[in-house]
Amino acid sequence: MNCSFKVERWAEFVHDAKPIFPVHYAELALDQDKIKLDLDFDRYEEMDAAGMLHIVTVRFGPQLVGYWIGMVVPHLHYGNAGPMCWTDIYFLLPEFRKGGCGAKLLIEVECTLKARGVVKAYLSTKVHQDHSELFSKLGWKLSDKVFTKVL
Amino acid sequence: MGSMTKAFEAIKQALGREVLLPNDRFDSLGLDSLEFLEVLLEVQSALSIAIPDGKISGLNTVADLLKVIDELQLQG
Repeated sequence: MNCSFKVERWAEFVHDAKPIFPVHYAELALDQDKIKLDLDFDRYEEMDAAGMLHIVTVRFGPQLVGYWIGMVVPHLHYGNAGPMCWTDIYFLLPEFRKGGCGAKLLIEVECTLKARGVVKAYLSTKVHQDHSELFSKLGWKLSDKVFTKVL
Repeated sequence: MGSMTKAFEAIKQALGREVLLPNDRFDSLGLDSLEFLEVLLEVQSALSIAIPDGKISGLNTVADLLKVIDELQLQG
């Protein structure tokens, strides 16, 4: 069986994603001693209803095995340029990180954002799980470095 | 050398494998995303083709890749 990639609405996706979010958090989130996982499901639903979410799922048969979520909004500085997309989160269950599944997910994200009229997208990678080389090979340009500080 | 034989050889070379079967799956060949992408780039370069992004998510086996290459070569 092959993995399939598709754009889904929040309501289709969230039920299957709920068991994966804690796995994602446990593997990748920083400062877990101070900042606990507490997803605002209502706000995601509101954003989806407002057309601001873009969700691409990875399913193995019916089973959700990965996702990418972005927020599509006009840029505050470049409103005339067209909608832009900020990556919120992305994750693939470890057993599906093979055969190019991650690359395929990002390519699907790019294709579907283009089809939606998005003119520019922003994507980041964790320093401790760095995908810079993959992103560069896929044509993404390093443009910013993000610093964080727990206050 | 026929175009499909040349394509198959290019895939074998990109994967660095002496033995490869059309039904071999990329996820069974031990490739991560970066390696998968590098294989695609090398094959495209060797055959002077450009695989459309929209076709990549459907590439699960060597045969899938050969089929896409065949389609591209038929389109000229």
